[in-house]
Amino acid sequence: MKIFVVDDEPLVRRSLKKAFEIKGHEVFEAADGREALAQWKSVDPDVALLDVLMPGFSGPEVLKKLGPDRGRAKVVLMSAYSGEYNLETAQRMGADLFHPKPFEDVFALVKLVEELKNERS
Amino acid sequence: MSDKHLILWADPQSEAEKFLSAWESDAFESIEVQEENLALQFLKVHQVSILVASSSFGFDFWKQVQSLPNPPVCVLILKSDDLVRLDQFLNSFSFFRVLKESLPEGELRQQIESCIAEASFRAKQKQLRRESSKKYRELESLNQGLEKIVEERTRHIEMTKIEEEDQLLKVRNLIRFIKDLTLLSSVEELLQLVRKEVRKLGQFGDPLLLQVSAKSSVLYSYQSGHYNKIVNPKPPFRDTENLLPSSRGLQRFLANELGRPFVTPLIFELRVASINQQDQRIFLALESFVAESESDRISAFFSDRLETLTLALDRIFLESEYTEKAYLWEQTFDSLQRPIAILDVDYEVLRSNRLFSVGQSARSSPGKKCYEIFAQRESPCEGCPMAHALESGQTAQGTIRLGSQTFQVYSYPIILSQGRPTNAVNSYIDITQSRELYLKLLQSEKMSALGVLAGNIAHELNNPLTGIRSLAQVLMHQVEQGSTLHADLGEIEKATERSQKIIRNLQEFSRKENSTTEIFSLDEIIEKTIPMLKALIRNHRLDLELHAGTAKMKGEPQLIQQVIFNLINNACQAMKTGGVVTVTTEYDAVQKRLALVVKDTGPGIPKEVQDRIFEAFFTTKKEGFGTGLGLSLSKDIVARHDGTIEFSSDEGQGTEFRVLFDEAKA
Repeated sequence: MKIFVVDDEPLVRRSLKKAFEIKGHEVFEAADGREALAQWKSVDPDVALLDVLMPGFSGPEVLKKLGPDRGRAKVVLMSAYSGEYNLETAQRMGADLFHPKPFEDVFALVKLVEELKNERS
Repeated sequence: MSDKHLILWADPQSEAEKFLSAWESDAFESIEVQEENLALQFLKVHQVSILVASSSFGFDFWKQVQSLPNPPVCVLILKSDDLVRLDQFLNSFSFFRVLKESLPEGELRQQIESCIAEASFRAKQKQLRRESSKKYRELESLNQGLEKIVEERTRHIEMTKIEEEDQLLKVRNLIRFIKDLTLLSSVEELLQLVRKEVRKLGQFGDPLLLQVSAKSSVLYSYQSGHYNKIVNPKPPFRDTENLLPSSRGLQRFLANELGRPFVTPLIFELRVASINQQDQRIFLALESFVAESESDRISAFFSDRLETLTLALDRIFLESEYTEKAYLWEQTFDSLQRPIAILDVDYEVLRSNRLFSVGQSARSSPGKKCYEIFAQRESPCEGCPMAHALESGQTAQGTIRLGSQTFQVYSYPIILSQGRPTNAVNSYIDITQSRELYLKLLQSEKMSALGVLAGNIAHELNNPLTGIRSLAQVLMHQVEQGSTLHADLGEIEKATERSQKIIRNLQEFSRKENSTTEIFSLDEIIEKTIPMLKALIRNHRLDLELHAGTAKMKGEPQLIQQVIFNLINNACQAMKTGGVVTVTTEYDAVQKRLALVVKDTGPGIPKEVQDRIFEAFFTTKKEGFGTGLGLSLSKDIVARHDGTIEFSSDEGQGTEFRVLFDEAKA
């Protein structure tokens, strides 16, 4: 599975990358929305983990800009502002899942993502 | 009566005729008789100056001659044969001469001349005697007249003296009256004085004073010891123009006002200068029961006094107006809710209001400086704007601090005449409270900014913490379980978890809006709150005794957290040198209540402030350390949760706050 991690926090990217790689997935990284958009096509991810608040474009903005270019990718929105976002608002913005930050257990997230892909495919 | 002497020659044997007719003289006339009886007859009828008679006339003849009212000068012609009788004659009668019969003519003539001289002498003497007696009578009558005059004069003088004394007494009375008048300070006293004065004069009614204008009337009366002032706002007369003291209208009006007949009145108009309104008139009225005959005395009495009375009344009116105004001014000055003082260039207080010298024994101690009274200082207050105001002639402003109080001082220079101001009015506004409020506002602004900042920081920290924690989890996955590295990573993971929890609480705490009512466990909320208080408690020991268990309450957890935070914060700040904070929860299954008890081992709350600790902005903490809002806010929150908050405190023993909530209904 190709996982695209878009987050401006390097440590988050790094930990997610490692966690997904341990579980045998291929991980691509982008540090902000602009970078994500630029790489999207070439990465062609199965699942993208998008941070909401990022410099450049925010997660929802990236989704909007992608439009049909999004391809087959499932999208998980992540945010520390769990008050403002939830599954409902995330789905309205075109995401498939919302995951609040911080994570309690990174492997739980990995599992969620794997399940997300499986249930749809 | 002729000047000539009458000589009666009575001698039957004499030749007198021959002798006398030969002697022509205008000094005498002579008559000759021979008969003893004829001579006597003649003597009785005529005034005879000289009697020349013969000794042949009997003893009886002489006796009768000598008893005449004006006996003549007697000459006895002694007959030679009568010598014997001579002794008897001479012893019984007084003869001017005794002549021998048939004397030579010359000698006889000489004798007769001497007789004439004697008669003349006698006549002169008699005349003198008569005159002197007349003079004496005159003198006497003159004397009587004089005496009369003296007596009259004396009486006159005496009368004058009485009159003068009377006059003097009158003047004295008048002077005393004037003196008394000068001491008067009210219309009441004036009427009292008039009453006392007229009593000396006779029967009078109590005097009263009527002040009338076209619009209203004021009646001042002093009746049987009671003073009355009746203000009547209605127009008293249709026509005040023609109002005269003698008018019937005035008498009727007084009767109406007094509610009784006002008889035999004496009414005088007092032309008081100070009555500013043109149509104002003043009358002095009193009933007179004195006899008609006394009317002159009475009118004199009043005319003597009316002018001074008017002047006195004028003075009283002016004074009362002045006093009223002065009183009003003083009251206004004193009731100003700010300290105010009138000062001179040397900072000496000329006048000050009550608030200026609050707590000072002497209100306006002369010669005292403003800073001595107001600030208890030895020198002008720092920041006093007065010097600047006096120099510039403009209002100046400054701020002075006295102990814990802060005053804004406005100094207004007084310019009485051209030139530099010599006095200033200083007005002090206590801005301590507004300054405190400002500081508190600043503090709460700071706090809310801090809240926002805390939220932001928390968010910023969250990201790397998430990375750290996740990475630790990944790494733990990769290393051998049971290894030291695994254990170390576990510690890192746990630490980041704890950090995240703190951040989450901080976020919740700082987020005041949008909090929702929940049903939650009190114990859990306390456990969530404690980590945020670690820094606060670092010098103290915190004992948690949570016994409420799963008992739940209903409310806004963030607010309850705030109460817990405030109580523990207060407990810690109360114990400056360290101590034990005990947080206890209890559950009363019978009452279905939960209790939160926060107890410290601090010095306790002083008795005198115990009543005030829940007041907003009341704080005993140093400026900038407390907002004075914590407990008032806590009380507010507890009340909003239908709970109660109370405390018990013993000085030196510590304080215990006990908060009670109802258990949430299942």
